[in-house]
Amino acid sequence: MVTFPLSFYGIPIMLAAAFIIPLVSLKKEKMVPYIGVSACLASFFLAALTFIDVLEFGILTHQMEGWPAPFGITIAVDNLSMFLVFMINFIGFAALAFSTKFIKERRTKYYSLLCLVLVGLLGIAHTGDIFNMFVFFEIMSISSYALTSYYRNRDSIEAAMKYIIMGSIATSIILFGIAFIYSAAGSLNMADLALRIPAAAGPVLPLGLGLLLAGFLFKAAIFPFHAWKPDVASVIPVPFATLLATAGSAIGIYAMLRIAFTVFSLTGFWLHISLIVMGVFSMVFGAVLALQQYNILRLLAYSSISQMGFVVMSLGIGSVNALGYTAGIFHLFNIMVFDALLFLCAGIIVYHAGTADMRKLGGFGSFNPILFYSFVIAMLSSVGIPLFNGFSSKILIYIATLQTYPVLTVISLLVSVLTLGYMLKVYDLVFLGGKKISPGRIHRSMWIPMAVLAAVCLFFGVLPNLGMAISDAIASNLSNAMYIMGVLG
Amino acid sequence: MNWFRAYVIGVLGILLFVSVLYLPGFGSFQNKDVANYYLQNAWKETGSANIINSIVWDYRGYDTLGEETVLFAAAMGVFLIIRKKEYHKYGLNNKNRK
Amino acid sequence: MFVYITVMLLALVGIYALLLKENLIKKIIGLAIFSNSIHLFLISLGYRKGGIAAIMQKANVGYFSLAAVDPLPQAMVLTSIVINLSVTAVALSLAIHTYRKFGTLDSKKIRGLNG
Repeated sequence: MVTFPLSFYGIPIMLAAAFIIPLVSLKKEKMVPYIGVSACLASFFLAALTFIDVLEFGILTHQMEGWPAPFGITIAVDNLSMFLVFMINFIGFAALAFSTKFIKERRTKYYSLLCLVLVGLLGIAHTGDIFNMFVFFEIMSISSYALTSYYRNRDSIEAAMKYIIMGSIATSIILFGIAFIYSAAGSLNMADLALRIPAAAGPVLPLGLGLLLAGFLFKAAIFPFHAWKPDVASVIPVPFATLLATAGSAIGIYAMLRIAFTVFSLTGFWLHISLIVMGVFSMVFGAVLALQQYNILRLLAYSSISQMGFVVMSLGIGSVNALGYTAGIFHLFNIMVFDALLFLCAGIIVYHAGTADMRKLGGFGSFNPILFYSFVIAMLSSVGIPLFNGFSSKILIYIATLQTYPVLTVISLLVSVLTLGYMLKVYDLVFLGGKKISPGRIHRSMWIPMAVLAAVCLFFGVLPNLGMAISDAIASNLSNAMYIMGVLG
Repeated sequence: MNWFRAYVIGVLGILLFVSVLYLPGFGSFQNKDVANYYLQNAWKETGSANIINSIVWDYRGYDTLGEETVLFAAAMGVFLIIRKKEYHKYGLNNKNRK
Repeated sequence: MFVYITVMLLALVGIYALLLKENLIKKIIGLAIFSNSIHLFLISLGYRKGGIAAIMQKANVGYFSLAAVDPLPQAMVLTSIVINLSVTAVALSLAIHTYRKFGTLDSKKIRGLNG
């Protein structure tokens, strides 16, 4: 386990881009988007190279500055981390490419802050130390608080104020959890904690775990901590909404998986029940509230809350039935692909119509075939129609719930019907409708990410076995024996 | 007075006060393997007499890098929110600089 | 033991100000109190009875590793203080801009978004 994870160089590259962008903008402001996009392309290329290494070695580790394991900081990349690093780089590149045409003013600060959000996300996925994870969560959060008020109108300021108050409570709760765990176990390294925690006794540890999970599930926007997501998603620039709604929530679920399964190695009763309950409430609340929205971005935010509820419920079932882990991780991958596609379609609609209120839109069906087919593919994926990738993971969730608690299968099917309901509402109000919009061209920096995402949707829908094999490889990594051996040697 | 929030504060308060009973006693030095390593070996390995300095700059320097990035992000954020005038009026290449 | 009770009382005072007060500036002050109470908790976890500060001097080289307090939580608190400073700075600049747009700092009157 001595190979170096090359994708770790993505963090200094994005950090250098975030620092260079304000310097370059003093002389040539036109180069600013290209610096961001090329840095993300380099990082994506390194992540693709590391993917092959991880599949061969299992886990790649590196000790920062050479200090041995519990005394220095560890960079540990195993299958689950690599999957998230790859998806963050991919969606980050799509968001950056989309915003070259979308954002026209105050570009310097926007690109610098977006590169910092990517630094934060990548740092969380690479690290093997809880306090380091907390610091990188803060980088991501503070850059999002700042970017939420990009448009500086009344709605943005209100959403940013609510987000920052709620987000800092969650951050302080995470620090409280870290303090409790340190008092009981005495170390901050994840692999070292996984060795010490079975020996440490007392109810302080479950309290620390509960506080940590509450903080991380806030960032993932699961019920009861979902209140910030619709407000924030309706006031930020749409490319950043793509990144935050998909990759931001996925990194919250990744952090929860790391703490609960790698550090604490829990398969106990309370975690299982609380994850299922929170997942079911997120699914139902997200779908029901999405039916009532007239703002397309709020509706898509509620839709992503509902889909993340499926993932959390399936991960909760996983401690009883191992198929739940595979289904949950495969569905997380599919959510990131089709939700990003939905938000990018909404971005094109908002860009050309200037408003996000669906009652004022209509007739986009004749605008551009790429927009139309991308939206139809994403809509059918999110409902779970066969031949699209949403079906491949939803059928696994239905089977897993049928084997343990059949009542959850009924609830999942009803929520899928509600998903079809609100997706048809968007389709009807935006794409059909009285007036006709004359056909227009979409710039190539906008349709190329959408076409690639739609192709991935179709690929994993037609060939689901490849996705299942990858998710199996990731889910079997959730037991921490190989992690500890790889880090501590 | 929002009763739901008062209820949340009440529950959190009860949880925190009950957990005080189970913490290790104040002053007892338990579970400190990593801390003992730092106290014994920091002078030999890093050459710094201030142990906390050696932790912040040497053993956990990556955290300090993250903290400085947070400062930079906050500075960009405050700059983004507060600025009243347009940026281009203050650029280096702009002939109409005020 | 009394130190921990004081810390939890401070945390409750901070959360009370953060959730139940209406003025935005009072909420931000409550946030600062809450985060500082957690810093106090972290530092007090590392205390040793009769301990000396974790700085080596010529006088205490012999018994240093047996009498010094725990340096690791103090390093964590250093980083966390800077992070909370940044959050407070962004929150205060948002409060300034809220006053420009809404004319008031009362959180009950800042309700434009619906749903």
